[in-house]
Amino acid sequence: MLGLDPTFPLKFMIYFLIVVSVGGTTTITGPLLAALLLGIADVAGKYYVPKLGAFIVYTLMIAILLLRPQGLFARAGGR
Amino acid sequence: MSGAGPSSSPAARSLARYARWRAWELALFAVLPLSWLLLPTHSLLVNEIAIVALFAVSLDLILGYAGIVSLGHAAFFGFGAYAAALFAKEMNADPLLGLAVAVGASALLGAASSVLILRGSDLTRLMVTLGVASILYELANQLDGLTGGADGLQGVVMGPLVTPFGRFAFDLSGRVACAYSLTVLGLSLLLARRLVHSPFGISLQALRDNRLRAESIGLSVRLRLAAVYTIAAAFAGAAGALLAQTSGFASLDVFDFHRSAEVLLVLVIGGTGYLYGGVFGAIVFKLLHDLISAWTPQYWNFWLGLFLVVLVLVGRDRFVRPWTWLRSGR
Repeated sequence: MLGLDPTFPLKFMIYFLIVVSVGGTTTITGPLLAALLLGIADVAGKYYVPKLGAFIVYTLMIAILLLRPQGLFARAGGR
Repeated sequence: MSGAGPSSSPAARSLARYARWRAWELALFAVLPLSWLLLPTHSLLVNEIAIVALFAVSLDLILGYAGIVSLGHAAFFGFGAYAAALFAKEMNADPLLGLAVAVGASALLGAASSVLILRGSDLTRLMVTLGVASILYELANQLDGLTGGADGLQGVVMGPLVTPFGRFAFDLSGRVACAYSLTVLGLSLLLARRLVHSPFGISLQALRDNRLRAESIGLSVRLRLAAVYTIAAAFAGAAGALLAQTSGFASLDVFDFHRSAEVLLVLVIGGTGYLYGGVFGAIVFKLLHDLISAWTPQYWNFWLGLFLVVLVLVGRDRFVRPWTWLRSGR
């Protein structure tokens, strides 16, 4: 996980923002599912392809936001 | 923008009035060479301010004029910096050629990534731009054979600046670097000024204010957004190239999140949407940074943060007019 140091709020904030934007801001369960999805993809990626480990979260986020700009689990008509 | 002409409709007159040169603008352009002449001992600081100012102006083009929020503008800054440094190291040490290559490379990257910012809400755009910058950061980190990885790209030796007035080698005190950066900043400002007062620039402001309405009167919104994103990327690349060339070094720091955040802060301080906000913001931000870190080297971040919170709470318009502070609200 992320260690404790004076800059850790910023690191966490970026992860939170990624999860919320991928999950969608109109539902509560969306970010929860997105957190599971991204967390599993991140750890699996770091484990199986260590070279690409750092790219996976960002690439996944950009790909998902390209396909569904309002987030994965956004309600239809929300926003 | 010639202003006077056969056009005499009220709209044309209002646009011409909007594009007219103001006295303070001319004064600002006069300050650029004056700062080089009058502050010979602070050349390095002036150089830094000019680079940050150019970077902030490039963000203002997309944020203030087209309404595209970005938390990853450092992607283009860093890309330009690495392009200029690598070009100088591997191909040709001429600074002007390197600047052109860096601008071209950043513009290509901007054009390629502009498809990412066309859809979704502001949050989507913030995150996608942040993602692009983070991916480039990791790329620069992992391709250590090419970029030097976390150690940075070392051994960049810049050649002399070949101008019509002679050849100038970059010196330690930063006189040449400062003049170089100020010149590029001045030319870029002129170019950006021409751009935002052109029909293209006016249409950008129209689609910023109401995208649906702009689309329904026949403006091609997507093309315009992609075009301004590419142009802003080119300007940011120029700023990055200036940093790499004048410091002879490029490190991962140029892609870092704090660069993108810092340039947003500069625009918050200076104000968006009137082109010079970036310049004023860069001057205030860098001077504050310099003064506070000289006064209290350990805790300058705290004071800078406090200043920003107060500035945003009070409001910039009120903050720069101290005589209104004691008056009751409104």
